[in-house]
Amino acid sequence: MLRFALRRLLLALVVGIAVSAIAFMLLRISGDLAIALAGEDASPADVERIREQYGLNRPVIVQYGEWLWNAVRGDLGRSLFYPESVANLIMTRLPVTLTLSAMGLVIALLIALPLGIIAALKRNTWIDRAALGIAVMGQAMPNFWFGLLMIFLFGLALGWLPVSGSETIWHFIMPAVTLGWFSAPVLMRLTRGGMVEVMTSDYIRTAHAKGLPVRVVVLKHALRNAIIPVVALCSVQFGNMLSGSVVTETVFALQGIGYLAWEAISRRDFPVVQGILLLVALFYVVLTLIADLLNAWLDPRIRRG
Amino acid sequence: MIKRRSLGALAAAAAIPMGAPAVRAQPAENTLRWFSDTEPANMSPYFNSTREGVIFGFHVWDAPLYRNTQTGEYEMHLAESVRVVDDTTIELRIREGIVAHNGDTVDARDVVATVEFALNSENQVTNLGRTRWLSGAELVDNRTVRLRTPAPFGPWQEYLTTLLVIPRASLAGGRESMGREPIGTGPYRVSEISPGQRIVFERFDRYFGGAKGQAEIQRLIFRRVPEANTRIAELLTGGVDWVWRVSPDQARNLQRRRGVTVISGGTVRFHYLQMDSAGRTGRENNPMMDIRVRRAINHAIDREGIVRNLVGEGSDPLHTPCHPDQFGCVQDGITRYEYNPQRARELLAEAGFPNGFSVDMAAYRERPWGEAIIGNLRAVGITANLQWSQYDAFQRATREGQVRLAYGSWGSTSLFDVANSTSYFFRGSPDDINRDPEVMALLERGDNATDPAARREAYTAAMQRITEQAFWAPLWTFPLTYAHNAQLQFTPTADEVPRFYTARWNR
Repeated sequence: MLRFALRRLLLALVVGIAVSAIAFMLLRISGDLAIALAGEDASPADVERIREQYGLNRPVIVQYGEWLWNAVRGDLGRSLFYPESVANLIMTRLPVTLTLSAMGLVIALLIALPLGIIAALKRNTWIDRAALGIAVMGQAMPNFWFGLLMIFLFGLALGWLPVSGSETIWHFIMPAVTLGWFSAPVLMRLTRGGMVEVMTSDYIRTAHAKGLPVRVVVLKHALRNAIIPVVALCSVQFGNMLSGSVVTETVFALQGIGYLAWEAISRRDFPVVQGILLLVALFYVVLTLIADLLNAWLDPRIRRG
Repeated sequence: MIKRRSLGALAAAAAIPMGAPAVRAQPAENTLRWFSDTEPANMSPYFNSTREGVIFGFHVWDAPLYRNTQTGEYEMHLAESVRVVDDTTIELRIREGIVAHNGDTVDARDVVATVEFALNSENQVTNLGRTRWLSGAELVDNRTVRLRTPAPFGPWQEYLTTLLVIPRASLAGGRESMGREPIGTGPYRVSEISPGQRIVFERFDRYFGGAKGQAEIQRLIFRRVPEANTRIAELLTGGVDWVWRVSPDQARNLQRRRGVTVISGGTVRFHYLQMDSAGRTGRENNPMMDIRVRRAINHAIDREGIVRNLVGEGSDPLHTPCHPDQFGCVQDGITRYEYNPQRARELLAEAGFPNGFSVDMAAYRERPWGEAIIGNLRAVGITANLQWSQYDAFQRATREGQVRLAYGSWGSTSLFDVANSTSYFFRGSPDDINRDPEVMALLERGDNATDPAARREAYTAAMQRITEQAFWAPLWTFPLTYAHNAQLQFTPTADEVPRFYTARWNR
């Protein structure tokens, strides 16, 4: 298992470096960092001076090589805009994104699992269709719009929840529901599909024949098998939430990793972009590893295999 | 339903408090909370170029002179007197009793240190506009400093209002220390910086006052909230006291709300169309080289209509390549092009384009207004294809001579002098896509003269030439709408810099 985990980590590092090289080149092609640093009202002479001061007139490959050499030695560099190291910057934003994503995933599962199970058990009834309808709504409605509707209802009209910021846990409820609601449909459909398949299996028929209560058959015997692909998908969804919550973070003014990434890309603050890319690659590898371990725990055949 | 216990566990994991925020600002607490969409990454005015950074600069630091926002006159501030020694030397006498936020005394040595810091390329200063007009500073005695300019510099008074003096103790720490632990002399000191969370400013009770006067409000809390609708929702729920950049439709809705004041003001920012009259994008089949086409474009745009329906209150149609409030932005004797689509079509036909033509239009901000311009141009037969990009790509394309028609916006760094607007675009810089030798010579004369009358004369001739040749299609001035708690007394200023040190709560 240790070798397996190490191999995965090494692979993540290679993927991270490859992605960072591509991102670096794309950032350089898409705009001029010297202009971004100098600001809108800067004169051409100012921009040229800044290009020289920051070494941006050197060949791109030299600049990338320099960053890579430092990164390999554990130094992700310093932001070109913030008076902070990239590592510090990421660490201050990470708790916000972790909290948001964890709460988002919990909410997605709280919506998806009961609905998926009920839809499977009541297949082709109005309950099934209603559950599918909810799933379609969740994916069809852009999350910035859903977020604004939540603000209007729970922030403005009812005054139950704070509108923006991350000062208390209550500030995370609306953003987490927004994020979870968007992720729930895919988890719900997978749960429903898995349950439909499992419920027609021989061993479930046997369990029914033995006179086990429906609750035990569904939750203990059927769900345990049906949930295996859901667990794998959860890791992907959690990864997506960690790296792709920029819209939600923007609407609710949460200063997390997603917003930091967007900001760094628009400013072409390449050390920050590179640092975040490496982090995201690491997230995916760790989450996939956790999903594999969970699946092995849920299904002994995977462990033996 | 999520139980409070589960939330508590999550909060503990993320070290996020469950209780109410530490500070609930209210008028009774004499605290003002203001939200904006951008946060300067570095607090130091020499390491950021954002508008919010300019505002921080006005509240935390001071300059030798201060422009009175009511009268437009320059007043002594850090300096107690200013003397022009010769065409390239200005002597400042710094007033006594100025105390920095760390308790140090501030005098002429800090002015010299600031100029030397900003001019030293090793310090990697990014906001070069504050000192680019200077070549050095020389200490005469502890209260007297002489500033040197490389050539005679007309708008020196205006630029002395932006030369923010950083105490030596702060400069010694360099870029990062200046960003993390800023030390100024201004009416507010920075008491907390939580990047991405909030920045807190406390009134500095040992402030010398000067032209700004003592602040009334005890504490300012700044937060970045990028989404405009969220800012409005916060205002309506009492989560914030002051917001700006309110769109016309939001302003209309807010005006009906009790407890909220909506107020519009002007800025020195303006919008324009640049046309490649010099043929930098190619001289063959370039309609922009024909004066009749440029005049046709000027006649085709319904400035009044767009201002009334889209841009909103606080904006005015513009006929000069500068803001009328700027020194030298002369309105007399210029050629004005009224909205006349029929005349535009006639001019195009005379120029050999009876069926119009197609052209790419580069743009990077206020897209709906740009689309309205495209609609106006289409009505006279010109198909303008919108080339939307980020600002740096827009600017690079302009500077590399790839832009035939550009829809842009210019804030003049809030300076009230055409040296920072018309001269920027028409004095032969890479941003000058017209390159007219006559205009260049006139502007150079105006910029380098120190006598205001001589400057005005040169700029008048330049404005007349630019508008007569229709090098640009100036569009409109940029309005700014603010919304705030009705209990707050706040007066907008024309330079896009809200002065919270003059604001107060009605209690």
